[in-house]
Amino acid sequence: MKRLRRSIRICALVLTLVMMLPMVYGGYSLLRYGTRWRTSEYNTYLPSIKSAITAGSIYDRNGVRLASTMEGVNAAGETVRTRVYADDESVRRAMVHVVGDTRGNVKNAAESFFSEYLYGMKAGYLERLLRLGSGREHGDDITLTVDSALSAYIASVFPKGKNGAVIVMNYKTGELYALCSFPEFDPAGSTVTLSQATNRATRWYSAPGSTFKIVTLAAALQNIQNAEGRSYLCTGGVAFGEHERTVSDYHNEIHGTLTLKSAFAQSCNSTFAILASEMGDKTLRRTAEAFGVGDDFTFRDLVVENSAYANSDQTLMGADLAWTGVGQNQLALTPLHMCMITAAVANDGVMMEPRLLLSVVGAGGTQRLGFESAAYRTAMTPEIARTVNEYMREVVVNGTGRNAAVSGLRICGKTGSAEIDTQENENAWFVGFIDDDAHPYALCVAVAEGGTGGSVAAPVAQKIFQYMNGRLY
Amino acid sequence: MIRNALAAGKKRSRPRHLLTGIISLFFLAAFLLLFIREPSVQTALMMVAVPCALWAAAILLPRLFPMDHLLLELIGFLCGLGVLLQYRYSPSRGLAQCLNCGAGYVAMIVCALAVRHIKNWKLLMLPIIAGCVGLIALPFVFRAANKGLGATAWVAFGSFNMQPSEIVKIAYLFVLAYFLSRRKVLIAMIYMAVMLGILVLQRDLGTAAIYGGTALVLLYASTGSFLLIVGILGAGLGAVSVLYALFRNSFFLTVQNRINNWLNPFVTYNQPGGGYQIVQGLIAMANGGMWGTGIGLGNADVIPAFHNDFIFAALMNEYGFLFALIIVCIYILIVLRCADIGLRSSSAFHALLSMGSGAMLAVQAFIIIGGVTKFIPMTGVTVPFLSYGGTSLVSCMGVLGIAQGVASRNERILREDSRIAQGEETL
Repeated sequence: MKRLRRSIRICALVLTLVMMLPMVYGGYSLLRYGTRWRTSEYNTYLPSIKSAITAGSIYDRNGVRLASTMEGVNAAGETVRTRVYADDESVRRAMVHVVGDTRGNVKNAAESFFSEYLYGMKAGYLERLLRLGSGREHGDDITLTVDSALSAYIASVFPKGKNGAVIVMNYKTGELYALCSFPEFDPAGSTVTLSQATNRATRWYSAPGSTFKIVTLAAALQNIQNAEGRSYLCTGGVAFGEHERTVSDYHNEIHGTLTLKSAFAQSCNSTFAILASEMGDKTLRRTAEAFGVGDDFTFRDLVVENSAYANSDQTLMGADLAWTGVGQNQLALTPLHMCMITAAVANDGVMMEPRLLLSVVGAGGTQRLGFESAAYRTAMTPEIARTVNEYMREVVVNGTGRNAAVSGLRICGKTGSAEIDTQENENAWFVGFIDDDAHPYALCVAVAEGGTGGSVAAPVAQKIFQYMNGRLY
Repeated sequence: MIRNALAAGKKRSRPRHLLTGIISLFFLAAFLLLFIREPSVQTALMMVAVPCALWAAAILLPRLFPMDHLLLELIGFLCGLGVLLQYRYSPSRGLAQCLNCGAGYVAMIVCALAVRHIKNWKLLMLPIIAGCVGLIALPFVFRAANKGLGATAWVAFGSFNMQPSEIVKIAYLFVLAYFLSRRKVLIAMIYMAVMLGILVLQRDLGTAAIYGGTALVLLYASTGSFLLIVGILGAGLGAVSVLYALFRNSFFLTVQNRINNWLNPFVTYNQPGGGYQIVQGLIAMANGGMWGTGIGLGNADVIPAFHNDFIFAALMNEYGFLFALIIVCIYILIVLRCADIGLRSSSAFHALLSMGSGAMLAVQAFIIIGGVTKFIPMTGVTVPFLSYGGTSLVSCMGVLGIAQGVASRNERILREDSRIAQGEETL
């Protein structure tokens, strides 16, 4: 009996712990994914709330109204609420992927993702009682970090008729100044295609081309001894393995003898293919993971598609590994993630969490939420970040990114021309930043089927930098 | 020892009406809120009837024979909550659930009386085992059409449907406790294997897990051998994996679906038999958040089987995660109380019976709550006391009736002992 009593006690303890497990797991996933579940398009509950309350307004960082609800009374004496967007059509179009639309065509935009504020679900009991008493059901107003004028300007300089995305962010705080996706549409209009509704800045993942050499470079600086002091011979391509699969340079151009710096500036594929195969799959994969590739992104303000290093955990060999080192093969990154990687270089190796929500003000005028920046990851050491920074400066001064240079600003950058098997033209990429503590801005321009990064994406970046310089942010 | 226990019993008896009061107030307020939203005579009556019924149960039932008050109160609360949850979405189902509760109380009293009075279990064992196997194999013969997706666990008698495995649960506990208390571990294991085999053949994996889990707990409690448990668990999981690997595309197709739905419910959302139910459950949980949407304000009725297997999602939807956590704590409290009653018992048979009834409740609650929160793959079992359905309530109440019986037996022995002790003192 004594032993029986002892084992009964143990059973009771184990059963208690086991029964708590689902709730611990449930609470964890509720905190981590709750907002995503609630704002998913499958939720039928939100529309029912929306009909009963006047939603709050959405403003940009300069106080420009992006969305608000107009109240009126119809013939039957019922309150009618209509959601209206910015007055200026160019602003409406440029902001539609950030703000969203009433019909929910754009997934996870501010209109749905911040619905708990906009529809007053975060109000306390006292506030709810007062609201009931006054009969004015009103949600919270939110201010976003974006600059609608900058976004409208970006939309005006982006290559006409092309798909793609442009992101501008503050690399010290993570505030997103612009998050543009093309093609865009007018939320006040009536017809929307799936392509228009897709937010390419956060949802379009593809091979980033040579812009990924930033990561390969950081890996080489970290893991290969004397990578900087050596010289590299480029013969227009490197062959791998028995099938003689080659990693070729763009148009098989022969760069000759290069230093690491000039190889980066000229975006020499051969050199980076050699570096990738020297350091091996494990090292390159580990560095990519340090930059957030393979992470489960659950940012507070944004839903971002996860990036992938390869389709499987299998070790990449030969040409596959070499192609990965130059930003091709199975790599898949979103433009926003490339922008974050660039921002990490500018911010001494620290990657900031991208933020979209600047402040939330309750209907009664009380500040419900303020802005606080948070570091997301430490991607590399400050020393390596500084070296990569210098190399990226060389790209704009003497390399493939000369078209992005702006006199008076210390612009650093990297071009990319990603070759996608199913496409005739390359995807044009440019990532870069202003190396100035007073103007800490990083950007990413990605143009689908645009051509080369240096000739298509870099000029767009140049115009954006000039615009920002003129406005003296 | 005896005096301490007596003193403790007296101390506990005092705040019991306070607990009944608080529980009554809860239901009064809850039905009042429903009444304010949609005034009806029926709701007003429920507002009075449910607390009155709980008071009556708390005061009258212990008059029949000594019972464990805490257990009675907690069961009463959960039953009332089940009625409230059903009534909120469908008043007629709520009223039917009241009748189910009545049947449940009868089952509890019957089981308690059986444990209290039956002394010669040896004679009964053979008929019980035969009855168990016969009843549980019944669905093979009288198969109910379109009942229970994927599983052949239901029996139809005319318009009346039932799941024999729910009722057999009670007898199953008696058989296990009987053999284990007499150290006939092998017989108990063979019996368990036969029952599990039949349930797996019926593809009723949820119920099989309840049977298996309970048996494991009892095996550990009686033998104290951790190795045995690991061995059985390994053998069981191995057998199931082999069966699954062999028949994954034929016999266990639904199982494969369930696993896919568990891993990626959003991906299989639009497929027939896909992740729709789980996703809607998760969304209902997210809509509720920590504090819930409020009574009468939720929309859990979009989830298929929200009144049955997914009632816990409906609970989290309107009452919030924190309240659901309290409900889980109440389940835990019941389990601990069952263990406590077992510890106070003087015979191994009754100790195992009481522990087994707690373990059965715990395993069942774990399987369904884990399924709803996406902790484990979803298997369709009912939520103890909260799900709609007569068979489920009768079996749950019957199982806890066993613990009540052991408690009342303990009480009687305690009284006899103290009478003898007092008699000696006067001598």
